[in-house]
Amino acid sequence: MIRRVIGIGSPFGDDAVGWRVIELLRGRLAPGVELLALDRPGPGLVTALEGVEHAVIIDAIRSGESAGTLRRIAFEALERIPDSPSSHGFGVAHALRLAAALGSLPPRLDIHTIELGELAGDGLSPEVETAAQTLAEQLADEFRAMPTRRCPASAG
Amino acid sequence: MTERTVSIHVPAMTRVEGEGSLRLRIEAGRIEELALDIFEPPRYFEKFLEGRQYSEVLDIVARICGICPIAYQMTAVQALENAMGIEPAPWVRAMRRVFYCGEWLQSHALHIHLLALPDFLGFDSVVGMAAEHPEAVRRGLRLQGLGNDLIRLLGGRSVHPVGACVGGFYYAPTQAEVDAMLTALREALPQAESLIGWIASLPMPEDAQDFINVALRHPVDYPLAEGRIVTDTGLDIEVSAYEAHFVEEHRPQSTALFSLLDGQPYLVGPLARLNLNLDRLPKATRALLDATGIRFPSRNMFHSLLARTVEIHVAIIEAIRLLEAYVRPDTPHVAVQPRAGVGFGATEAPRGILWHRFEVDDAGIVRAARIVPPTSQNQARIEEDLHRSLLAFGLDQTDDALRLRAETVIRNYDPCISCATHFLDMTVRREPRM
Repeated sequence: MIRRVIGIGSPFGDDAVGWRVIELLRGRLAPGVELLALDRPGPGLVTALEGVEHAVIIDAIRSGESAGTLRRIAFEALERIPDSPSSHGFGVAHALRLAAALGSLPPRLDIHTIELGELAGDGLSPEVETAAQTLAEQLADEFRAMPTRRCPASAG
Repeated sequence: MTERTVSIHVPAMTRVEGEGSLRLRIEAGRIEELALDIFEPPRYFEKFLEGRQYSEVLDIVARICGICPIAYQMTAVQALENAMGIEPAPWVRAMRRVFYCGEWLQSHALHIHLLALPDFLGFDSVVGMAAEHPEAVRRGLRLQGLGNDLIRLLGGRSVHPVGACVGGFYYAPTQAEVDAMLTALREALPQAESLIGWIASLPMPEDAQDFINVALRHPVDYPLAEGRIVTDTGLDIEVSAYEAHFVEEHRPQSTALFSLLDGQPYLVGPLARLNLNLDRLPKATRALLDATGIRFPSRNMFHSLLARTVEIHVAIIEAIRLLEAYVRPDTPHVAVQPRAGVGFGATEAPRGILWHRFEVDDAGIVRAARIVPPTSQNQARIEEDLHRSLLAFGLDQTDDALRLRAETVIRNYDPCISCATHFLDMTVRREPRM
């Protein structure tokens, strides 16, 4: 079973938080849980989800909450986001809808969002750094509580 | 019937890069008004570049476009090196071509599958299309991903890559990295072959049009990162002579500039490139194109879609050829000694010729920059095509059918409005015959 944690981001200010969570999780999850940091993957996210049975997606969001607010959102909530008019704006929600249409959405998909503050500068703002650490702890705990299943020898 | 007054306004075009609109007014069965309005604000990149060190330019111009940053980088680097008298090493020239192949692959695969194919297969978007053609969409995404991997090999990352510099590259990939890339490219070749056959089998509107093809031409290879500017009307000029023949003008409805060749609209992009460079195709690609039974040069603008699939195949073949000869150099770039000068650059961006002129001083500071993107060169041609295509389609078609045809015609150029501004909303007004 492929389990993959995907941090999505860019080098700009708090938008790098998805990458930061991946960095914080390195060495902390059971062997076999893959960590992947993606830079604005667009439709490339669909490829990153192919064959994955449990995916965790972490991305920064701007929803009007205060910086650092953590939320876990359902895939269904993303269906309300309208289609992008341009491939320049092909975002995570669109990629996940495309994956769903292709039948490649992982059976288990957890989406975590972190409200961003500043998009300027090189580092994370303190609130967002704290939120990244909180989420990394939470994910490490969740994975620890999950049984490490092995594929039966006959599989594949 | 044609007695009605039609007024179609598409306030924001979808499945194009950036923001624009279309206004169409039909009166008494005639097109009285047809205008492509580009209202993205002018982006002032030429002015941002003034006063910047030559070494900062590639990072700045990469930001003009998220889809074709390499086109901007490779054109700027050519112009800067031309201005400062730097001759790139053969390894650098080969790797620039490989880098550019990555961009063609990802940009063409994205346009074909996410933007254009829903029009030809009758879907609103790729999401609807994916449910009925999942394998085709997966193949498209794999090809796009391969393009991104190729960009990452030399650029460090696929979005606004950072690997290229004046004089060469900051980093030369290891042989192991190149070998892994070669394996992926060889595996993808059959996918590119089957894509050509599939796209060639789709029914396309038949409409032969008269237009001037403009593309680069290279002494040996299919044009990409270098060449002379040629047309099918006999023009054959150095890149530096561009401004003597091609003129940009402002029109009130658009923040993009309209380019004309000796006063005439003209076509740049995959169809123009293929029409002018059939004899430069790799043998294997030429055999696949001949097997489709579709004759080139083609005057059917909708063959642009097929031309893009042909160029995906070219990109993979070329990347394989160049990487099979890969030798890791001791140093991936030459030292740069700034000197004052004016330099020119032209390359084949996925959407057509991208032309740059840079003037630098003896400290290597940019004093003036001029950037002519492909979409502004195609803008006059798009309007001309719309006019002809809608007449050929029939003005008595329903408003919805007219709107879809107009959008299909525009999207077929893969216009990058974000690049061109300095794009669609469509208004159709039909007035009765008095």
